[in-house]
Amino acid sequence: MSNALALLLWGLVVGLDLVSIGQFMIARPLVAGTVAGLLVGDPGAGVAVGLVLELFALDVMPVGAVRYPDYGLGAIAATAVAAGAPAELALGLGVVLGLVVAMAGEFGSHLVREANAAATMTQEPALAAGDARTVTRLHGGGLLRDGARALIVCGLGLALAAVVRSTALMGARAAVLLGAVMVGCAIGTAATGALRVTGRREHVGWLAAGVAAGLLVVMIA
Amino acid sequence: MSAGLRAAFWRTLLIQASWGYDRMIGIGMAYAMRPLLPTDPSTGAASPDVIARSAGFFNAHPYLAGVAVGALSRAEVDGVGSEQLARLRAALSGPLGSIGDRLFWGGLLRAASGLGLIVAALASAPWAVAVFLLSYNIPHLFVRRWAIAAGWREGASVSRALSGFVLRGAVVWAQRLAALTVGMAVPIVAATLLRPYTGSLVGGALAVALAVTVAGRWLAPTLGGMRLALLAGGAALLGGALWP
Repeated sequence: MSNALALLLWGLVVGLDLVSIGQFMIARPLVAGTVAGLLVGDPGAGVAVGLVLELFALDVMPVGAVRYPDYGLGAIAATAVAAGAPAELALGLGVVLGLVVAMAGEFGSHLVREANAAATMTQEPALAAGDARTVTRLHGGGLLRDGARALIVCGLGLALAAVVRSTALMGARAAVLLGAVMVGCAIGTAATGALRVTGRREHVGWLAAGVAAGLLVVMIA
Repeated sequence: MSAGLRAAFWRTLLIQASWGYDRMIGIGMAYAMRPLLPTDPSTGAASPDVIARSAGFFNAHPYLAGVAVGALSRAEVDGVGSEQLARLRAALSGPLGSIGDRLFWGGLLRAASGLGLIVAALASAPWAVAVFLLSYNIPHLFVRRWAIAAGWREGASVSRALSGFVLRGAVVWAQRLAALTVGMAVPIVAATLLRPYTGSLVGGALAVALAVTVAGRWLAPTLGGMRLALLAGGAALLGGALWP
C-alpha cells in the first residue's frame, strides 16, 4: 500500500513536470522509471523499462499544439508490473502497459486543454475587463486540472499493473517473445526519431559518426 | 535581477499551466508578466487595459517565452502604443517557438537523452539520471534566466537579442550533438537490452526494429512508434494467449 502511495505521489510530480511545472524533464521515462524502481525496491526493473520507454520518447517532438504520449506515467506503471519479476518475463508486459498508460496520459492532456479553453471562454467578459484575479484563478484551475489528470492516469496505470501482475496472461515463452518484440519496436522508434529530426542532410555525418562510435563500443565492451 | 524580475522568472516556470486550445499560453503570459507591469499609484494594481492585453493569444517555446514576458512588460512600462504592442506580441510568437523547438526539443533534449542512455547502459542508472538532468537543466535554466533578462533589457527592440550569432550557433551545435549522441546510444542500448535474449529472438527483435523504422519513417510516419508498437504488442499478446 505504501509503495502504491509513493508511486502515486511520484506520478503527480512526473505528470505535472510534463507540461505545467518547469519541464525539468523529470517526466522522461529514464528518470521516472529509475526513481519508480528505487521506490518499489527493484531499481533494475525501473531502469529496464526506463531504457525501453526512453527509446520510444526519442521520437516525440512536442511542438506547438501537438499531443504527445506521457511516457513518464507509463514508465511508473511499467515498473509496477516488472518489479520483483524476472526481467525477461515481465519486461514485455510492463512496456505494453506503459505504452497504454502513456496514451491515456496523452488523451488526458487533450481533455485538460479543452477544459482550460472552456474555462477561459466562460471568463471572457472578466478577461476583457482586465480582471487580474480571473487570470490567477484560470491559471490555478489549469494547474489543478493537470494535477488531477496525473493522479487519475497514474492511479489507473497502477490498478491495471496490479491486475496484470495477478493474472497469468501468457506462458513464459510468449512473455519472452513479447519482450523481444517490444525491445525491437523501441529500437526502431528511436532510429525513426533520429532520422526524422537529426538525420537531415546537414547532420547525417554526425549521426553516422555516432552510430559508428556506438558500434565500436559494443564490439569492445 | 530586481525583485520584480525574479518573481516573473519564477512565474515563467509555470507559464504552461493553463495551456488551452484558444489562447494557448496567453493566460500564463498574463500571470508571468504581472510582477513587471506598471501599476496605478492610487490602487497599486496594474491597469485593466494592460491585464486584458497581456492575456491575449500567445504561443512560444516555454523556455524562451520569458523573452516575450520581459519585452512586452518593458514596452508597457515604456508606454509603447497598443498597436505597436500587438505587433510586437505577434512578431515574437513565431521565432520564439521555432528557435526554442530546434534548440531544445530537436537538439539539447535529444543530446542529453542520448548521453543519459549511454551512461545507463554502460555504467549505472543513478549516474545516468544525474548526467541527464544536469546536462539538460544547466543550459535550460541559464537560457530561461537569460531570456527574461534580455527581454526586459531590450524591450520593443528585443529582436536584436534573438538574431545574435550565439543563439543561432547554439541551435546548430545542439542538433549536431543530438545526432552524435543518439546515434551512439541506439546500438549501445540495443546491445544492452538484447543481451538476455538468444539466437532467433535477437534476429527477430532486429527485424522488428527495421520494420518499425521503415514504417515509422517512410510508410506511415503519422502513426508513430508507440502506435506501431501497440499493434505489434497486441498481436504478440493475442499470439501469446493462444500459445501455451
